[in-house]
Amino acid sequence: MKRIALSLFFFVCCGCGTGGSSGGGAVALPSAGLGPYVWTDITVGNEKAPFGPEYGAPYAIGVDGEVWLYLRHCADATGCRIMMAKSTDGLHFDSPQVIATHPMGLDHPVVLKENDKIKLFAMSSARDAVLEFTGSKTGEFRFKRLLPIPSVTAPLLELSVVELGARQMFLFNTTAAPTEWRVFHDDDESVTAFVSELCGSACELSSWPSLVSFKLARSDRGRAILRALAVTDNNSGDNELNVYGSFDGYTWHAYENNPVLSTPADINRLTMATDSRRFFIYAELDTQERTIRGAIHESGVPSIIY
Amino acid sequence: MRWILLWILLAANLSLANPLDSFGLGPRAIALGGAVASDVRDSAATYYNPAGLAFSDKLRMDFGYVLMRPHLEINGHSQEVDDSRGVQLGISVPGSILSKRLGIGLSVHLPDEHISRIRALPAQQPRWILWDNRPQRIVITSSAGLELLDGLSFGFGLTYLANTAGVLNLTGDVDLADPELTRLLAGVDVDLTAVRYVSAGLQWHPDPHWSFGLTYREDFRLALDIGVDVSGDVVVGDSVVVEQGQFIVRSVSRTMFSPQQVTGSVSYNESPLRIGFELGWLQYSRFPSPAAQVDIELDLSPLTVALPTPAQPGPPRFRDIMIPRIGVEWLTLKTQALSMMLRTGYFFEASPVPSQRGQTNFVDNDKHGISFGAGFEIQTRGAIIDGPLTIDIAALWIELANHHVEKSNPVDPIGDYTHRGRLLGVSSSIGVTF
Repeated sequence: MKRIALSLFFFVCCGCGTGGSSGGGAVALPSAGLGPYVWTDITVGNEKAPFGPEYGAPYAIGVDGEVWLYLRHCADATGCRIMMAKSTDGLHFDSPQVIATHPMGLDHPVVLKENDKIKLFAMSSARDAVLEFTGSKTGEFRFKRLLPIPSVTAPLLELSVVELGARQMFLFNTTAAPTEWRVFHDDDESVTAFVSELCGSACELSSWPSLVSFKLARSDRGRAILRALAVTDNNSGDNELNVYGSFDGYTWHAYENNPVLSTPADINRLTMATDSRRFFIYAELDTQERTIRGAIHESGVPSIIY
Repeated sequence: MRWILLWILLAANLSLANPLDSFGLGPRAIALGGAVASDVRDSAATYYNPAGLAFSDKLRMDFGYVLMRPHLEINGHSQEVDDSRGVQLGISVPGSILSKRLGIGLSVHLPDEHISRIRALPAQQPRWILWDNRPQRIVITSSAGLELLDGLSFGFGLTYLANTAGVLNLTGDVDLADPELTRLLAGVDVDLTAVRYVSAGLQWHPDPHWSFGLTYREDFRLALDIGVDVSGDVVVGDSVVVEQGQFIVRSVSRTMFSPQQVTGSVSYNESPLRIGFELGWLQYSRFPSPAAQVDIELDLSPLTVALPTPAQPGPPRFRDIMIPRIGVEWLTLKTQALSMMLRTGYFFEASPVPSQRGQTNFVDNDKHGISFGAGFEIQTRGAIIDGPLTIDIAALWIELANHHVEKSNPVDPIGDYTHRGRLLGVSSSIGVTF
């Protein structure tokens, strides 16, 4: 009996072992990551200084857990060009490298990523044309063509490019009619008005404002979603950032926690991105010292990829 | 000795639940897919069918261990849900009353990581709704079975679970002008109250081959009740602005729910083969919202200060489910010294969670459970040990089928996601008959 009791004791107490854990079950859960955001400084280069006033028009994408930030750079008489900086944390970026130049000058980059290939679209410095470049994740970009956007008589103001299936859709407005958004489909080379239903009665906006960044987002394991980051004035004179979403580009819904961010400064351009852990907004703020600032939200794992 | 054990059993008439719903109790039952309510007779009957205790022949003690390791992932990311592991002890004591057979049993599942676990997340936050809290629990089941007629028995059990309610009391003066002058005294008042539920069963053996079982388990729910009560005067300098103002916050979170269950079971035993089939009904439609219900009261009269009413969680609208189970046992070896049985089982547990296209994200999947096991009976006889020494082992694989959630709203903060997983487990025990 004693032998049995000893055997049982060792079976139960020693064979099992005791441990403990930090209490799992909430690791890497999808994040409710659309705000609220908090403005934060972002830095660049070894000096970890802010982006200088020569940088502008940020556009960011998430690539393999990093954030790649594309910028217009107008430092000298050679004209403006497109540079790109990488960051592993979304807050501090390596020194930017020139990735695209053109005699017409370049402004307002937009990037589409397809596996290892990357397409770069940029306005000419005069904002009277859109240029397409092709490249890869590792190399420089090569000029491919001028996009034949017809019927545009005034300079372009904003430009977004989204790829829906095999179609490339260019959403843009002009300085002559900032709130009249238009669509150019690459495959039929025609320009039409961007007719969309914005939030119905749930949305205070009756039409799109002049500053909107449209981007195709994708659930980690789900469908493509069109997201719009729009800037509107509130009654206090601040600029508010609001997020809208659509499955089809026609019917749009407002995010319930709008506005996700606000600033007293004017915003020249803004973009949204994710790394493997956080959501970021980058904006060119039109302050006395024109600067790129970031905004961050971190909780869990982003379930929406930009 | 038996009467001492009986006294201990009655005095300790409390039981907790419920990782047993998730994995089962004892390697034999686990290996048979849980389809044992018609003929279980050892200490596992305390959970599967207390009526079976009436047919236990000898005092038996079981010592075992169970380990379940979940691999649960959302969007390909592991959530690192904790293992469920612990010691499983059981005892069944036969007896008689008014010349009728009577059996009493006690089983204990004692986790060796978490004695209890409470987690309440916002309704929008994805979480494994049935795995976060359910397996992390002490379980003590006590039951008794009485033979009513020849071959027919009735069993009954009671379960008590600890419930938590606590209030943080802050009393004193709040100085609006100078926070440094605010004086509050804190007191904590926490109660551990009991929640009780009932289980009952019938077992019928009309002939040596056929056995039937019917089991009922009452539902129960555990809540985490936390309150903050701030009361006192609000002053500015020497003048009292609010006399006996009060700010009360109360949060009630349903942290655990086990549904009402009815199980019908039948088995056929023609040596060397035993086949059991079972069908259970689980009333998950009464599943309460697991999100915290928060009530706030603010009384600062004569000041007119109001707080917005917190949003109350809506019903999760879970659905009732049926769980079919089947188990096969084959006596492969029988000698005077040793018997060996091989076992296998299967069950299918549909998810009670409805489509999560809206704001909530209660994650659960349909489950296929496949199990294997073996049992050995070693004949021993001594001064105290008066029967075979049994060794049982089991392995359980629960596959959580891939499930994809598509949200109806394109601005849903979580978006579409996919979840899947599996749970792998082993269980073993040694049974000693006295």
